[in-house]
Amino acid sequence: MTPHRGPQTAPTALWDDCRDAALYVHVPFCTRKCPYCAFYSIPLDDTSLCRKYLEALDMEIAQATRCRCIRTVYVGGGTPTALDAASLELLMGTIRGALQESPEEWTCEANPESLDGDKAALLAAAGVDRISIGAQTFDPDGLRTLGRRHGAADTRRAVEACRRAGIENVSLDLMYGYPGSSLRRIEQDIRNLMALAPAHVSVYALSVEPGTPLDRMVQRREIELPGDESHALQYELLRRRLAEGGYRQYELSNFALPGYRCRHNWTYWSGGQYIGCGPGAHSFSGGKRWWNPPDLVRWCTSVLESGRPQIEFDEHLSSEKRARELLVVALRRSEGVNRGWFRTLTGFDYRQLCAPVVRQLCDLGLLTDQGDRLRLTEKAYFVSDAVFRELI
Amino acid sequence: MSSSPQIRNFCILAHIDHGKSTLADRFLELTHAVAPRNLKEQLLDDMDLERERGITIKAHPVTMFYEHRDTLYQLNLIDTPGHVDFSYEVARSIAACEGAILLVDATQGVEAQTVAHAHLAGSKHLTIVPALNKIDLPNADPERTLKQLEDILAIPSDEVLWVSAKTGQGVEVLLRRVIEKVPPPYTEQDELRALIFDSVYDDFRGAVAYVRIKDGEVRPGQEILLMSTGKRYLVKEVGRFRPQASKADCLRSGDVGYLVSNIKSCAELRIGDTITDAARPSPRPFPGFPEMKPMLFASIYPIEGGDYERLRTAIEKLRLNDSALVVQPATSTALGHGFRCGFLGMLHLEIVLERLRREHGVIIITTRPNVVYRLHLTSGEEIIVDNPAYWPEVHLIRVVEEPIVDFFIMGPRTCLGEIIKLVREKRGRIRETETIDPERLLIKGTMPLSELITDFHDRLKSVSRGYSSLDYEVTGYEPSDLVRLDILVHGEVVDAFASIVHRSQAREQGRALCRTLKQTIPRQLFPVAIQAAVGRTIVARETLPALRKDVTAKCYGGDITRKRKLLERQKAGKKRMRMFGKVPIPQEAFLKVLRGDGQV
Ligand SMILES: Nc1nc2c(ncn2[C@@H]2O[C@H](COP(=O)(O)OP(=O)(O)OP(=O)(O)O)[C@@H](O)[C@H]2O)c(=O)[nH]1
Ligand code: SF4
Ligand SMILES: [Mg+2]
Repeated sequence: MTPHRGPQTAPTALWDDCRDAALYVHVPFCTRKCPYCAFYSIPLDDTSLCRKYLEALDMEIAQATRCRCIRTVYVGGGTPTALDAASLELLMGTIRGALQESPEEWTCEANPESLDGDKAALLAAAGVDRISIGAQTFDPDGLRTLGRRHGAADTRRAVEACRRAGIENVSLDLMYGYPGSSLRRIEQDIRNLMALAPAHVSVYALSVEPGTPLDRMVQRREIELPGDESHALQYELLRRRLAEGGYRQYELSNFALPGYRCRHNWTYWSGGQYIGCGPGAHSFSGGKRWWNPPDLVRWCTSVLESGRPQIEFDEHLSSEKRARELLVVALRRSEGVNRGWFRTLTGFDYRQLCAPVVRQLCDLGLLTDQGDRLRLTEKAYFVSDAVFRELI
Repeated sequence: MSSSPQIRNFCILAHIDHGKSTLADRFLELTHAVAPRNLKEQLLDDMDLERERGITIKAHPVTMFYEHRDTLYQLNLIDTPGHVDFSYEVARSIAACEGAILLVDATQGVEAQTVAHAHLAGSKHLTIVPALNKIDLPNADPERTLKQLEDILAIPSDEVLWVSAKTGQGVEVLLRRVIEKVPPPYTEQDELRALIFDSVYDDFRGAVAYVRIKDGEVRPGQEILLMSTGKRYLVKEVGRFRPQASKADCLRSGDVGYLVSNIKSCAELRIGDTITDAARPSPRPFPGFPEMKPMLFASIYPIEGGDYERLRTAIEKLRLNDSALVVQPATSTALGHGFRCGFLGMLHLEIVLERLRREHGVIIITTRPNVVYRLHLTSGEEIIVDNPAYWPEVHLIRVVEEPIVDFFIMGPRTCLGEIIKLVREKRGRIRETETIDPERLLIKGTMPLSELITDFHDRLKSVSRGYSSLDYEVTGYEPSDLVRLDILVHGEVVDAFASIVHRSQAREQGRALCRTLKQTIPRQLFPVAIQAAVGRTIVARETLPALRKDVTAKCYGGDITRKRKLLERQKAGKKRMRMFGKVPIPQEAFLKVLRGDGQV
C-alpha cells in the first residue's frame, strides 16, 4: 500500500480565492427561551439594545460583504420574526443594501406565532424568497412539552401568510425523539404537514444540549427521552412517509420537492465559503474559520468601536484535517462525495486518505464505494457519527 | 543480661477500626511528641491512601518520651493495621516489641482480628495490656465485651482498662500501665544484632531500614554486615521516628529507629534479616520471618503498548516500598507485554492498582485475579499454575488441587442461617460453631481460598449487616473439579477475562460475565457475540445488538468546528480502549470483571 500523498497542486485555490460566499445573519432575539435551546439568543425587551444591534450589524455586514459575491442569504436566530415590523424592515434593508446583486436564495427563519401577513409581505418586498418555519409538531401536548408558544393553527396561518405574500418556497421544521413523541404522533404530524404542502422539510431529533433546562430535567429524571430504538424507528417512519409524499432526502435531516433544496445550507456541506454576521455567527473563508463573540454587548461594542467584531475564535486547519472534515460533512449529503470533486478540492484521494477504514466500512455495509462516488448507505444514516468517527 | 530499664517497646493491636491510630494520637499528644498545632486525626496514617480510606495500611513506628515516677521513659510505639490482608505487618511489629496493647471497641466487642492478633502476640510471649475503647459512645457495652475477653481469650476483667481514644479518658492510666507491666528490653550479648522489621525507599536516601536493636549498638561510619547475604555496608545515618525521621548519634540495645547505609535497593534489604557489626559479628542471626507468599495473582498491562516502560518503572518504584508485591514479566496475545503480580489479598491488589494510577499516572488493564493451583498431569508430572493462560488442555490434566483455608467467623447468632448458606455457596464447609455469648457465635470451617478472596468478606458483611468479622489461614491443598472459563468477544478469546472456576459454577459465572460485558462494551456498528466457553463448549452467550442511534441531526455552518472536535475527541477516546479483533473494550470492563461485578 502506498502512503497517501499531500496536495500536489494548489487545489485549495478553488476554495480560498473564490469571491463567492454565502451570508448568514444571526438575530439574537427570542420572545422567550425554549427549554432545550443552546443557541445564543436573549429576550427582546430592551428596544435600545435592538437599535444598537441593527446599527452594529449594518457596519459589520457592509465590511464583511465588501469584495465578495454573496450567492445566498440566510437570516436565522434566535427568532428574526420576533423583531417588530419596523425593525425587521430595517434589518432586511441593511442586508439588501450590502448586496451588489440579487442572491440566488434568501431565507428567513420564522416562528409560527410571530409571522403575520404584514411581516411576510415586508420580507417578500425586501427580497426574501424562502421562509423556514419552526413548526416542530402539530400536537398540542408535544408543543407544550417543547415549551413552544404557538399552536398548530398558528403554523397554518403562518404558511398561509407566506403564500399570500408570494413566497412559495416554505420549509417546515419537524421535531421527533422528544419526551412523549411516538410513531402515532408522527403519523399525525406527517398528515398535518402534507396538508400544508411545504416545498421543503427538515426533521430534527431533539438533542439534549449540556447546560440547558432540558438537560437539567433529564439529569433529575423529571422527564424521560425515548430510547435509541424508538428514535431510530421514528426517523425511519419520517423518511418513509416523506418519500411517499414526493420529498427527496438530500441530507441526513433534510427533504425537498424537486428543485427546492436549500442552497445556502448546501454550501456548508460542500466546503464552500460563508460569512456570518451578528453575535456568535461563524464564518469560513480563505481556508480560515472564525466566529464572533456569542454575546450581544461584547459583539456590539467591538463592532461600533472598530467597525469589525473582535474574533472569539479562529483556526486554520492543515490540509489533511480540512480534507477529513470535508469528507465527513459532505457525506451527510445523500448523493455522497464525488471522488474527482474531492480530489480537486482537497488534493487527497479519500480511499488513500482513509485506508483501510473505507474498505472496512464498505464491508460492514455502511458505505458504498461505486468507483467515483462514496456514499453512506441508508442503513448508516442513523449511526453516521460512528462512521464519521472512523474517517475524521 | 543488662537491660535498658527506661525503654518500653510496644505495639497496638486490634481489629480494624477499633481505634488504634486514634489512641496513638492521644499518646503523641500526652507526651508532647507533636506540637499541638500539628496534631490531626490519625496522624501516623501519613500515606494519601491511608488518609483517604481511613485505614492503616503500613505499620508506623514512633518514639515518645514520658516522665513517670521521676523517671524519663523512652516509649517506642508501633501502630499496626487491622485489616486481615495486612496481618503480616502485625507479625513484624510484634517481633520488634516486648508488649502489646490489645484494644477492643466496646461497641463492637471481640472480633476476628482481636482474637488472631492476641494469639499471635501471646505465642511470641509479648505482655498484653488489654483495654476497652470507645467507652464514650452510648452504645458501648463494656460488660459484654469484658465477658467475651474472658471467655475467648481468658483475660480477667479486672486487668482490662477502660479508655476513650477520642476524648482521652483513661489514656494516661493506660500509658502508665504499659510502663509498669511491659518488661524493658533485655540483651543477650555485646555484639550488634538488629532486626530489620520494615523498609521504605526514599528517593534521596535510598533504602531505609526500620530496625529494632536487640543487642549492641550502631552508629554512622560503622561497617555492618547483613547476615543472610554476608554483604557489607557502611552506615550513613541512624535516627528515631519522632514521628518524622530525626537523626541520632547512635542506636543502642532496646532502641527502635531507622538506619541508612549505602544499600541501594530494598531487594538487598530483606525484611526479617539481621544486621550485625562486620568487625565483630553476632554468633547467630534472628530466626527471621516466614516468607510472605502471595495469595493471588493478576496481570497488569498498560492500555497503550507504548506505556510499557512507564509501567515498569512505576512497578519497580512501588516494589521498593512494598516487599509483599511479587512481580514477573508477562505476555498476553491480546494485551501485549505486561506484568504478572502476586498480592496478599484483594485489598492489597486494589491498593497497588490505585497507587499505580494515582502516583504514577499509568492507565492499566488488570486481569481477573486467581490463586495458585497444583496440577497433576496424566504424564505423571506435577505443575504449579498461577495464570489461567498456562492452564493445560483438559485431556492432559489428571487432578487439580486448589488452596484451602481454615477460617473463623465471629457473627450474630441470628444470621447463622444466612452465613451457612453463603459458606455453602462458596463451596465451604462448617466444622463447628461455638457460643461466645447469647448473641454471638464463633463459626469455624474450611473453604477454597479462591472463593474466600473474591467477595466473601463483603457478602458476609452484608448478610450480617456489618456485624461479622473473619480471619483465615491457608492450610493446604485439596483436589477439586476446576476448569478454565474462557470469554470470547466477537469470536476472539480475550485471555485477560479467562478464569478458573468450579465446573458446577461455569455456566452461571459465564452468564454473569457475559451480561456484565454486554453492559460495558459500547455498541458497535455490527452485532457482537459475547460467549463463555469451557474447552470447546459454549456455556453462555449474550448478543450485543448493533448500534441504533449515533447521529448529529443538525449540522450547519456554526456547528462544523464543534462537531469535528467532538468526533476527534471521541476517536481519541476510542484509541485508549484496547482493540480485540474488531471490538474495542473499555478499561471499565476490565475493572468490572476484576471486581467480579455481577458475579453469582
Ligand atoms: N467515639 C469514639 N470514636 C473513636 C474512638 N476511637 C476511635 N474512634 C473512631 O473510630 C474510627 C476508627 O479509628 P482509627 O483510629 O482509624 O481505627 P484503627 O484501629 O486505627 O483502624 P485501622 O488502622 O484501619 O485498623 C475513627 O472514625 C475514629 O474517630 C473513641 O474512643 N470514641
Ligand atoms: S425560538 Fe429557537 S432560538 Fe429561540 S429559544 Fe426557541 S429554539 Fe432557541
Ligand atoms: Mg489505624
